[in-house]
Amino acid sequence: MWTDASIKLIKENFIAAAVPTEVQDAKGPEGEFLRDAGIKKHWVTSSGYMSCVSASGKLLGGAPSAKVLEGFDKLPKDEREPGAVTVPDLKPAEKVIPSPPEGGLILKVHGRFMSRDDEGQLRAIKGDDFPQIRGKESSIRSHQFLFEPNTEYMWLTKEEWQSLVPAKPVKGDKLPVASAISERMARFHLSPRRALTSEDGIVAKKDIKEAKLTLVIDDVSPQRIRLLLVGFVHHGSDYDNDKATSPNGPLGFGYETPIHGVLEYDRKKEAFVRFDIVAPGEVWGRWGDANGKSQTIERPGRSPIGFAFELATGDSPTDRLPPAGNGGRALRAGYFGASK
Amino acid sequence: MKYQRLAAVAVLMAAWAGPIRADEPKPLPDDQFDKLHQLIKPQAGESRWMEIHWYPNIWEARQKAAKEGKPLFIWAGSGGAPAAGC
Repeated sequence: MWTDASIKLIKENFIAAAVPTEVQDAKGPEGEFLRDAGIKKHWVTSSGYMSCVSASGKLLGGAPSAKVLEGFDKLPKDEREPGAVTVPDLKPAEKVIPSPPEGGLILKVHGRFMSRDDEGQLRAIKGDDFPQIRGKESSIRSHQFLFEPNTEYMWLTKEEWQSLVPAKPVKGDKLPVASAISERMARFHLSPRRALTSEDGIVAKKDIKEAKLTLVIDDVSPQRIRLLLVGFVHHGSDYDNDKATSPNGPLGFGYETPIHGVLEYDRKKEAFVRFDIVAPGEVWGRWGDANGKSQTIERPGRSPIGFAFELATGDSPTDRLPPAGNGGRALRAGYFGASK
Repeated sequence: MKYQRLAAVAVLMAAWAGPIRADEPKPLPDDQFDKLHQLIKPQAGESRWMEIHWYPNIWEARQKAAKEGKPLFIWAGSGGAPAAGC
């Protein structure tokens, strides 16, 4: 799907949106627009779908193509010419997808499956690292997404990121990070399922065994404060080597990771200019799909999985995609406050 | 090719040998940290769906499409917005 030609076609001819399928059932203008376009006939299950629609509400087809563009060009001019269709602003209460907090900070979160070489050193994942793929070329092609990072977004409110800036910074001092931030990172972002898919992946609060972050002031100058972030996250089962025989093993899903970060605060700009974090962790046990069956990504023993955080530049609307791919669900699960 | 690049970086990360508890936090040396960060992030040619500008909601995309006279391309996922490999 994602070739030079398809990306060029989309970038030059389409306006792209990435949304949860549940928007089609939403009350208000966004849901009505999709329903009026007949989208429910196509988004029939909870799987992923690609659909092309005119701003006037005509369904044009599935994935972007020359045929879709031909159909668009055949629409009356008052449905396709620039400025011909009037789309009023939504009222705040009509918005289905939440926006980033005002004055907040957005981090990109990349998750990647990894492996180790014979000497135990980290390396990129390969097809034969997954027992259920076994290096088969056809399986590797159909599971290509396992071999590339998945990216989503973490939000901090203005008050939260400001709480990370020491009022009287002294080199060597240590500052605890608010549990609201460390638990958010553990529940919504350091979730191995997020390295697999944008779907779900939210960890229940009861499954968090440890989520601790500490800042260490590394350097202070009139221009900047450099902070090192250290911590540890553990959720799910405790590792048991005798039971970690997945796929189809008896050990429940578990994950733990150290956390290392380098943060730089520009005292004149009053903003973080660097917010890099790495979590080189390990996952084990039975992931299970919706029916409890073993999944392709399950491997015996402890398997490396890495997450990297960085500041979002904000130069693309993609940077405003909600946390965990679905801000509504994440927020309902306690993203900013009381959690389930 | 990209796997070879990743593997080359990984070789330099010999000091990391798996999770350690944070009771006595020990930050990574800068060079190890930078290489690990780079290793995990998308490499050139990976996660190509991220080369597209994805609007996070239907309405904003619809307004933009109407203004520019272009069709919308909507990628919908179940648990959440895609912009991912699934």
